[in-house]
Amino acid sequence: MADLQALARSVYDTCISNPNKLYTSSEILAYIPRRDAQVLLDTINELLGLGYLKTLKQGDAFVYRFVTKDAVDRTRTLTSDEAMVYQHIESSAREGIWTKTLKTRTNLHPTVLQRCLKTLEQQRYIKSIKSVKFPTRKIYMLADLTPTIEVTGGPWFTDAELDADFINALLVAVERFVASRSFPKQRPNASGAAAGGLIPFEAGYTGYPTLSDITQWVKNSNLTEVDLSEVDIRALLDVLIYDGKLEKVIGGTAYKAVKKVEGAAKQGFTEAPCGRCPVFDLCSDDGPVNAGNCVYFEKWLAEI
Amino acid sequence: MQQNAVELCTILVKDTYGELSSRVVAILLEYGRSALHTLVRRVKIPEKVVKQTLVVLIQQHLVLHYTHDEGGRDTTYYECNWLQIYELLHPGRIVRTIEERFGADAAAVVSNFLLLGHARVSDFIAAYGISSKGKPVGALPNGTTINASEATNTAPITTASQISKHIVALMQEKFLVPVQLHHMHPTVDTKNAIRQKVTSEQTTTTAAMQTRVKKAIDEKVIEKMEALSADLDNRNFGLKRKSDHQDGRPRKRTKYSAMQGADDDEWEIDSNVVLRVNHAKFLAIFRNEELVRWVETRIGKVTSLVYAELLKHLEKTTIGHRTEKGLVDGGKKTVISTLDISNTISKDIDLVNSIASAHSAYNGTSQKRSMANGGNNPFDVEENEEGDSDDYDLDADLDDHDTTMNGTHDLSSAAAEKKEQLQHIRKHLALLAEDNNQFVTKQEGSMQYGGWTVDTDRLCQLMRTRELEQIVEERFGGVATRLVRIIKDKGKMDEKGLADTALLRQKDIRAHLGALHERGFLHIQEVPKTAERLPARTFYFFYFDEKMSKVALLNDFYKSMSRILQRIEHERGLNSMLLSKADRTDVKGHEEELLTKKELADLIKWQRSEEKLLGQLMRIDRQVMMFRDW
Repeated sequence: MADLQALARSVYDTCISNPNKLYTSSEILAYIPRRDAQVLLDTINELLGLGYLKTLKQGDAFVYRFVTKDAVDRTRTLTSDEAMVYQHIESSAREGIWTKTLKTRTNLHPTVLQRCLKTLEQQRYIKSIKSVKFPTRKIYMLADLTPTIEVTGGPWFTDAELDADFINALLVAVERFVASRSFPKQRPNASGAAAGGLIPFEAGYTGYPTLSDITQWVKNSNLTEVDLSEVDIRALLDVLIYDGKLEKVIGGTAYKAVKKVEGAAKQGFTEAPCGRCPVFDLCSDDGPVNAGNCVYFEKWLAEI
Repeated sequence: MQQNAVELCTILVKDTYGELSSRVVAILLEYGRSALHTLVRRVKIPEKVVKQTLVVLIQQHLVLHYTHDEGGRDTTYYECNWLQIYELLHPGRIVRTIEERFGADAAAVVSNFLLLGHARVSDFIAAYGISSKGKPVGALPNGTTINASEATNTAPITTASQISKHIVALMQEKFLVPVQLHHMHPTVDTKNAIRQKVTSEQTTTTAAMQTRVKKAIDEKVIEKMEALSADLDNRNFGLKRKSDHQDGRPRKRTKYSAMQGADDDEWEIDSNVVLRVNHAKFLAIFRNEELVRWVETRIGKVTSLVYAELLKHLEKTTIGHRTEKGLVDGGKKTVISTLDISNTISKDIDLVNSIASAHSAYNGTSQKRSMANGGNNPFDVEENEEGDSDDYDLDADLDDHDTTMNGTHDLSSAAAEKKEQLQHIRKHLALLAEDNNQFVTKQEGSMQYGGWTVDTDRLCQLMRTRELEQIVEERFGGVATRLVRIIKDKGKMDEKGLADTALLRQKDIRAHLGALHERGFLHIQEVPKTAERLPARTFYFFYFDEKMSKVALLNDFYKSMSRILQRIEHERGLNSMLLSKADRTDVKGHEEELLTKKELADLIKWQRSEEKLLGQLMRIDRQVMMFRDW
């Protein structure tokens, strides 16, 4: 701070209290004595030169943002190459920047760039992240930022990998919840027809859970720390529908479990050896594989 | 016609009618339509024998024939009717169905008709008269249970009038139909003959007129083709009135009798009529059985019983024509009223405890929501407005009926019971209508207690889809099913989109997609990004083609059915010594005493294997019917 003139310092001190605000030159002018344009120019130049101020473009006009003292100190210690790399990484914000893009933008020699990145990473100014879209790319962003959803892939991803266990656990939980609401509770005194399994609700029943019911339940159930929106839950429900476990009812607004059949008979075709035969295409009456010498039939018939 | 189907048909004919017939059938199927001399040349069997074989096959409707006038000389062509050959798998099912509905005697009649192919009624009855003791069909040797003639070993029929009574009943429900000339001819020939006749009636003048004339001819041909089978629509076609059969006005009486439905005795068979079993009708029945089973798994046993009752009413009115498009019946048009069902449904069915009412169960969400809706029925927002507003018009509806019936509001206990029952049946039907598959469709205002129709075409389509998905599931696992359903739902998709929707890793689904593609369930479309068509610069879209999958599957079905039959043959060959011993007349019935322990064990093992194989065959047959006929 000592390097600043008194006037510049006072302007900086006033404005830094709001580091995210964008100032136009006329707004800064308010802090300049006598609103002298020449003085303003000098002050801005001084602040810019020492890195306390940044120019940004808003539409056609230039605006300024004040840089916190930490950040100034940080850049101050960097070499010019490092500073350039840092600036590019910083400008990429929460998206991150690919090393290859970085190379073309900075026009640095690869080894130099590598060295810069290494130092910056060691000083914990930047971090390397994995993108879901481009798993093979090396992407950097500032260490104190969290990547956007496009980069992380949303709640289903952990370390840019689809978290299959997490998803499966949720699928099972949601299915159970919907199933518990889809059929009446078994009454202990139920006899006759009810003994044969679950009995359905009458037509026109409206108690089936809706998307918001299910989302609410997932939120309240402490199943996961991750905040799941209705869109995420809908994706889960869609998968369950594709799995044939749930179906949409009441005009697609609510969900209902499909009745499970205990010990359902398998298909005739797939249960017979032919339906699962790996050499089915080779099998012919006078070929090397035929019904007579088929080992699968033998095994299957022995299973009686 | 597919290669595998040819193989299957040949095996079936061989099993039932022997080597000779199967040679002829194989050649006919391989070369298609042939004249006698070409056939003889190809079969390499003396002409006399071929002729004898053809007579048998024609009698069984397995071979069709048509005589052309070719340049002043008549030439007869023979053609194989392979769908009828496939029906050789069905006698067991057919006889069982008849036994369930009409009793063992009628089943015996039908099984004899199956055995004979077609027969003149007088001959048929005469044959019974002569050989009522010595059964028309001998007991069969071990291992030919495909032929369903065991059912004939039931209580003997004693009088001719009994037989004709059964035949009349079977004819009125169209299980037996009179053979008409066009049944013996290939459809194409019948059509061509009609076209020729129609064309010769027209006189073409100018070229401009020709297209219009052609269209008119086409229409006429279709009309006449339909007229051919229209005779069957008449309930008493082939029958004559007992008292006044000289009258010659049976149509009027038919209408009357259809309404009354109780004057069976008034009709007797025209003994000159030649009858055959109507296989198409059975296909419709098998289909309905399948639908009932589906309802049972989806909704529940009791509802499926109600559904079965409804379908039974439908069956009565359907004849079932088999066309190129599949099975045609009047399912969509015929309306069945709730009252009809309640009149015939068994009283033992517990209609009450099989549906839970909304009030007895949850009170949390359901009440909140119904209040939010202001008491509106949620079905108002649904696209298919089925089963809606049932609840409130029901009571008024029933009350109306009671007042008209009794004139007062005091209900006798019987009437109250009836009302109760109707209400419960309606609940079940509403459940069927509300289901996503829409098993029944409500017809508004047509009948007092609501009328219902069944859209069998659509249901069968859904059933096929379901079966296909199940096959995929059992062959490739749950993930593959998920993928197939997604692709079917969304159309063409690339691997990435699929992985995103399925919430699975791309590398995890790749193997499944590959396997599905290999077996013909999925197909790939390549869209190159650049002109070079580099694999790396190409989109690969997966899509599902129901038709192609269906054909691929049917082909597989036929093949695996052939393999099962061949395996039975193979097993029989392995045990031939034992079986010939067990078949000896002195051993039969005394197996325990005359066979060694090892032989007995082997015999039991063989019987079990055969049963298992045949059971499997029938289960695949069910799938074939589903994919091909329904």
